[in-house]
Amino acid sequence: MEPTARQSGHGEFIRLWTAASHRVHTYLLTMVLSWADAEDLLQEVGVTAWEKFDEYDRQRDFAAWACGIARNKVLSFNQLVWHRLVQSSDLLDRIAQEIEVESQVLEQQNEALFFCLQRLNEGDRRILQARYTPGMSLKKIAQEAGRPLQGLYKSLQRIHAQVFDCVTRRMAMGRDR
Amino acid sequence: MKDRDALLNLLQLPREARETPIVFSTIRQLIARDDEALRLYIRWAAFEASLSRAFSGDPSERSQIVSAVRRQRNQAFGQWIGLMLTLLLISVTGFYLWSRGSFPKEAGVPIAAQLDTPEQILWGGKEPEQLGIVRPGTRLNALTGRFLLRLDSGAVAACTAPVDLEVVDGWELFVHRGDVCVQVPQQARGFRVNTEAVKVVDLGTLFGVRVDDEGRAEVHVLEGRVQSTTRFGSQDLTTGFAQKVDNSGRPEKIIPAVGEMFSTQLSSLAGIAPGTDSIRILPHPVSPVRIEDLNQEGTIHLLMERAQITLDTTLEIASSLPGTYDAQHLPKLTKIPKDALVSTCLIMGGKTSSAPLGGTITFDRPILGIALSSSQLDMTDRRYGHRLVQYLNPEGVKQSSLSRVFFTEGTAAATTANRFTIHPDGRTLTVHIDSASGEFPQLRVFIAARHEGP
Repeated sequence: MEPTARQSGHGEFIRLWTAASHRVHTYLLTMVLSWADAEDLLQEVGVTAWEKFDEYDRQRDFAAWACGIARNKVLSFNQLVWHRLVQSSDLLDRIAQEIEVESQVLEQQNEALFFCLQRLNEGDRRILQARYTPGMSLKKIAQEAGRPLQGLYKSLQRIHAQVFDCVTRRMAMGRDR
Repeated sequence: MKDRDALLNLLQLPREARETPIVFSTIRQLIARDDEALRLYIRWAAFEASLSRAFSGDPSERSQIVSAVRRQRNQAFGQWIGLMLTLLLISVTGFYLWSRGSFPKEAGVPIAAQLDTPEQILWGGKEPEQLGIVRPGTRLNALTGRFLLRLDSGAVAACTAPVDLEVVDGWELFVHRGDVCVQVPQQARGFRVNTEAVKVVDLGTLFGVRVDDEGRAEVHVLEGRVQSTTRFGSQDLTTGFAQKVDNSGRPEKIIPAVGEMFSTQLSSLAGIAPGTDSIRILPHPVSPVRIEDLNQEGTIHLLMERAQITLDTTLEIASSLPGTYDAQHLPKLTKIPKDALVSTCLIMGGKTSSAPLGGTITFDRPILGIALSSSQLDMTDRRYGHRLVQYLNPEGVKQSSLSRVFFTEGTAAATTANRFTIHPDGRTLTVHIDSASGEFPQLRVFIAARHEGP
């Protein structure tokens, strides 16, 4: 690609990547379950996707193309580290297949989640925020707020269970309608 | 349905507790065998990814979050008086339930160990949870069988029935009765095994504790050092020494350690399946010894060398593909990657001219590879051989006229008659040795440290 074409391609890439990165992140997290590894891999996938963007066929779903890159990254990653969650390409393929089959359900789950988060009380919402805001950890929050870490863990567990239940119920209601 | 619940419990663990090899291994087993569990797993991962997206706002909100969490605590303090009354009621009820032994188990408490059961166990008390998850405070009472406990600290305890013990947490066992042998890696130094009579703190690597029905205890140090404490004081014990303590906690004199006493547990640590009798398993050396002096005529011997050790470099040795191999049909080479967890043992026979020897051994885990050339053996002696054994040519310096090589290509028929077979199960090895005088053929077998599960 010529420099100008590359520049305009960059704009297009950013737009596509921004829209697809959540799906790729979900895909990676499902494959490795470790947050730190998923974050590292997401960055690697982003870099590789940009490097190979010239090869991207505009007729194809960009997120699916990026997930293909992610799959290869996870495979080579897992080959190096024996204790990672998914160690066989068979299981990796089953997960990928299941994500594909369940993609609509996962989309509904995402919508239901935003509804359920609105119903959380402020304190519980802040604890979830502490857990998921980049650069923060419950340990730090516990130290700074002077609360026992175990107490925060238990609160987090309760909140996770409560929100997941809410999401499951809401999806069931959606199906029943 | 049980798999699904177990999976949900694991997924809800705090991140630090969840992202561990033990939990990952359990999750992997669950999702690999149950489609419903796999779907739940995917939903949960997507759920967390969505939460992350929902909250990946401005990190400058940090101070607001801290003050909100603090405020929540202060609000909680305001409700303290009311809660005290409630707590009093709960405490009385809790004590009542506890005293009846029916206190409900709290969901999501940390995992202390994973139970590895290569054979059927008959439990005397409550059966452990499915999937071998052992939570802190679990009491295990086995009437028959043997099992390994892989503790969260990294220590591995081999237990043979009858045994009755409590897994206090990932760093402590309390043995009520029976024999327990504990392998403690560097990172778990400080691991404790307590009994009514004695408290043992690991300061080294491998020790056994026996508690009889009367509560008398024996502590045997097979490698390394432990601190043994009774109500009469503390005593450091080093390799090859043992201490008996009576049931009042009074220590008796220090005696030589007896490796044979824990041979079943050591076999279990080394991954040797029960019922192997055509190969003689050598007792664990507790003092320095030359390899030649361990070998006796008339049978093939197996020396258990290291249990549960992590490879510090990638090893290139003979592969474990099923088949029969001799000097004309050499096995292919394989690589066992760095960081793999393995156990090792040395199989040997010969030394002087004798009748052909044969034997079969079955491991309860897969064979990963075999070191069989001189260079492979010499190269692996120091790191993966037994610490107290002096091998034929230490550090590759030729000191003995004996040859340890198993196959010598293109030499006399007597030598080439040595052969071994790896059976299709990948765990059984048959060795045939027909060596000439002056030959002392050896194989170092690397096996997976973990039982693969049902």
